Amino acid sequence: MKTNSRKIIILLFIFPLLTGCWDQKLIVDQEVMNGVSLDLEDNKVKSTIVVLNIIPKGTNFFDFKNQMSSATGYSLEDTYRELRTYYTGPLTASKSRIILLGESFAKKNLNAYLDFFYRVPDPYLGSKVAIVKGVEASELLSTKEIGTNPVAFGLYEIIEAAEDNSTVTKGTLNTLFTYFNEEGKDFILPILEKNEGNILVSGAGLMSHNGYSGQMISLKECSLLLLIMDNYGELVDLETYMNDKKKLNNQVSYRILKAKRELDLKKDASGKPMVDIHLDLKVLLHQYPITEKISSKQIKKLEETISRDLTKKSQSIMKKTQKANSDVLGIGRELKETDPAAWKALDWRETYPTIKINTRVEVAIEKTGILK
Amino acid sequence: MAESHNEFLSSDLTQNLKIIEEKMKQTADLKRRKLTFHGEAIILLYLDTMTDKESIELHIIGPINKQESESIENTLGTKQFSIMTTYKDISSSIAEGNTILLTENCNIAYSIATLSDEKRAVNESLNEKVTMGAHDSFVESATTNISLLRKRLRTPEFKVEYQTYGTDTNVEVAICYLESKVDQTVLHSIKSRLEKIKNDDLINSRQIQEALEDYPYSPFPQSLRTERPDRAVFNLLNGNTVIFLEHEPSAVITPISFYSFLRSPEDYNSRWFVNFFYYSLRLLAFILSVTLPAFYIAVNAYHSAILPVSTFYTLKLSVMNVPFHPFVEAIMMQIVLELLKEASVRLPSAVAQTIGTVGAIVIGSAIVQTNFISNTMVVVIAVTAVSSFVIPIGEMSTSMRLMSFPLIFLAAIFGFIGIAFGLMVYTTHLVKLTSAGKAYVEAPKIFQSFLNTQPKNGKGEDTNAHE
Repeated sequence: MKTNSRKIIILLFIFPLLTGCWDQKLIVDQEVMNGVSLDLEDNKVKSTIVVLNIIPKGTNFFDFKNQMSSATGYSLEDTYRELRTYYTGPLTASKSRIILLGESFAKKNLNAYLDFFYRVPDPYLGSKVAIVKGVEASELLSTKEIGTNPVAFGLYEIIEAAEDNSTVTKGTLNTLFTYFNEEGKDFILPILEKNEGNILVSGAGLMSHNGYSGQMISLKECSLLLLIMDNYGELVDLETYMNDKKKLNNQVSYRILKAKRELDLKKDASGKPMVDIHLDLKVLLHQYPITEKISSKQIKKLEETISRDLTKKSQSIMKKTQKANSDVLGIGRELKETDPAAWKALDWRETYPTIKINTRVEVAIEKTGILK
Repeated sequence: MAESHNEFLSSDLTQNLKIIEEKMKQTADLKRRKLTFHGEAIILLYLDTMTDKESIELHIIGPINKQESESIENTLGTKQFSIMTTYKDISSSIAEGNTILLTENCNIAYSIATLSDEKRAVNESLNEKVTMGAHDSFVESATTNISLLRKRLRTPEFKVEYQTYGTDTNVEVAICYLESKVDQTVLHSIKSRLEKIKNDDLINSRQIQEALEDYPYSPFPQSLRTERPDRAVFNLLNGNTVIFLEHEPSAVITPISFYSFLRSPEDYNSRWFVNFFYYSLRLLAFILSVTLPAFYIAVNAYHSAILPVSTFYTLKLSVMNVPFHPFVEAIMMQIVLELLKEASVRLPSAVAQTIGTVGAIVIGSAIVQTNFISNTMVVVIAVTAVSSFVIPIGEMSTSMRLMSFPLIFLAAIFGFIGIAFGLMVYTTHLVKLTSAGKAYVEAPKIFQSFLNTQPKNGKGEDTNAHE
């Protein structure tokens, strides 16, 4: 009896030691990819990854180097297998900052491709996803640094800043997953462009059916789209021409203090859904070219001008989404929730471009800054 | 028959002397003094090394020489004495530092208390310092210690019981408690546990603690040893028992709860939020000192995915050129730390400062520069050590630091799962643990202990406000 229990105790100690540390991943050994880009090349996927290598230069000093490598294959795993062989340690995506999609790749059904990132717990779901327009996605990664940040971190921060400035909605790989699996709602992704060596967010790409529609909302209209989507960031600045003449210093610009959106889903005479969007904005005037005192009469007039301008703009934005067949407002989901029978009867992909969307923007100037 | 005859004193003085000296194994420090009292020979026997010679001179020899009274009893009137008839009593009485007075033609002996009580003055406690509160501490005398308690507890409810333990050492043990507060069943169990040490040689408090312990193999101390009277009094008022051992400058408090080890007497002397902050700090220190190194190893070896990206690169930079597994690093650093600590305790304080400098500069920075141990590991172990030193009771502080070792080992083999398993075992053990039959860890009465239950004086009613 005693020898038996002793044997068991010895075994208990030996087993964990014999199995070895198979799942051990020491920080020292790890090669961490920071940026991933996916392109389409001759009907094959070309993945490019960038790994940040830190080179210590004595205490408190270090330098970094981006190690970039690409591989092509028929699936992501295919390319990943090849990529692994280029690095000295186990490759992990746990610290990936950014996933760049080439324009042609983005047009595929992303859900099916990005599945690779969702199944295992390793990849970082907080990474940002963006579409690269104009050049191959891998080309952006070949930049060494943006500002003082290594490329992947710089891109991450550019997109984060764009989110704060209400250019694109806040989104990560994680939120993307929820959109993929939600019927009746599409989403937007930031579009990155290279302009004379600088990388910038040039607008929001309208996604349709989990793929890039090819249409985008330009930088100037993005904020309004986000207001209509009721999903804006910390700072929303808009501007309007004071009159029809587009000349120098003829714009009034304003910051949104408070926004209230009402989405009214109705049915027209033929039983087709139609939408009334009412946007109520409280704004702070922060640029008005005439630095004299603004009378209340003028304010009334300004409010009217701005409201008319924004209503016009919002109409055209909604037209664009319909053209791209990208239901970014989630009207389909609204319909699905409120009238499931009607939702089932309709093929939403076919219907959305044809429904009538009325928008109306009302602006009230609440503050005029320090100047009256 | 001859044996029993020899047990009692005879009337023959020389015969008596011979037997007593034999009983005392003819030790060299046994002195005898011959006097005469009303024509009769008197012999004084005492241990030179233990007795207060001045007191013998003043209270025994002086009166006898002056022959103030007819009888010896009256002559010794000012001094406390008892009458003895057996050799055995006499010899043990001599060993306790009493003086034996034998007279010619008489079969009784007088044992006079002449023990020289040389004791240390009441000083500030070295091991349990506070910034606020009383600065006295226990000394190596049970009577002084009890007087320190009595000064604070002027109530007839305060009861002291003496017991003598150890066949060879004959040490007095004092059990103190408040009759009205103490749980009688607990008190009874404490007494019956102390009975167990009857045959042992009792020298230090640890033996009392061992006898009181329910789980001798537990890493946690199940009774609290303190040098501070205010802590002892506080526990007495809570219905706990305080045990003193003669010649030991500490009180053993039992039963005790785990949270008492995180308490400093200072807490009760400060405002509630200060009190709350420091108590929480110590709880945090407990958690840190047990889990921090293990957590770091687990993150380093298995779970780097949970690190934010900037932290990850900082860590990677610091461990880049270290050739050892983090487990080896941690063990090395822990051992270095324990060595430094032990060295500075053993050395005289002037040299101990040098050790501190050597530890901080030579080992601390050089070990990093030579890439033996990473910067982060030094930080982790230092934080662990500092947080274990925060714990007011040294015994608990050490066991906390040692408890981190099994967790380090588990973390190195199994990662977070290992830590979770280890903590589970610790928690189960803590919950199961009892101290003198009472639960060691109870649901903490945090709010009750912080909120003062004294009635509040309204502003208008405050009599001092007018002055």
